[in-house]
Amino acid sequence: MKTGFERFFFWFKVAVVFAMAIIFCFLIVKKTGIGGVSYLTEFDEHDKYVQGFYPEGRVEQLEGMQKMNSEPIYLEVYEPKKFSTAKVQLRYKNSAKLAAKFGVKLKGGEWAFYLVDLAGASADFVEQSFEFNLANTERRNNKIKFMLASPAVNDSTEKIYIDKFSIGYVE
Amino acid sequence: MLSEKTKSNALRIVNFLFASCFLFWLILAVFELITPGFAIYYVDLSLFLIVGLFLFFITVMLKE
Repeated sequence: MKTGFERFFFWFKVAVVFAMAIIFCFLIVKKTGIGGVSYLTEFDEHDKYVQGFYPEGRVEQLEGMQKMNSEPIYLEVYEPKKFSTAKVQLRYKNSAKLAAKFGVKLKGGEWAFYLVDLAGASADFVEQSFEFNLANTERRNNKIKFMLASPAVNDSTEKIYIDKFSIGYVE
Repeated sequence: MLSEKTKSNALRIVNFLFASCFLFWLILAVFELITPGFAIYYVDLSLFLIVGLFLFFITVMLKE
């Protein structure tokens, strides 16, 4: 016959194993990304899924936004598993109408990027949507890399400001 | 002062927690190596080190 402690210890072990199983299932669900995954940063605090823009010397952190002082600048985003499409929204201010491109890093070389023009040039922030096919995208440690390039920024006194980046992965 | 029986029971609990924490940490670490991002974005793996040290000190105290 089990003593009081033995009974308690048995249920204690069940509870611990159950809790660990729950955590493990939660992690698997997060990794499978059922129904798609989306991440958003407004550059007001450190985001664990979206790292950047970087390098620091080219990007200045302001309150709730980042200022692109020189180019190119990069952003890395965690991708839990391989998705086929990424829908990206970037909100930026390019009041000097500087020619700029935003794109995703592809396989096949250091400078292999698929780039799209930044279309919005206005005194205020504008939001632009991009859709990237991720079939040929380079992935490192389950992260994909984006680049914002604008050679004109280096010589201009006017800069590009970014205050929101969001990404939604679609199967 | 704790009786020998209480100490023995407490040691069993602590040892079980220590073993299960270590095993769970090992599983998460292996999955993290296989597929980066599996655990680190959601579980602080260094927490296991702190819990492990805490349990180790309890074990030492109970054995004295």
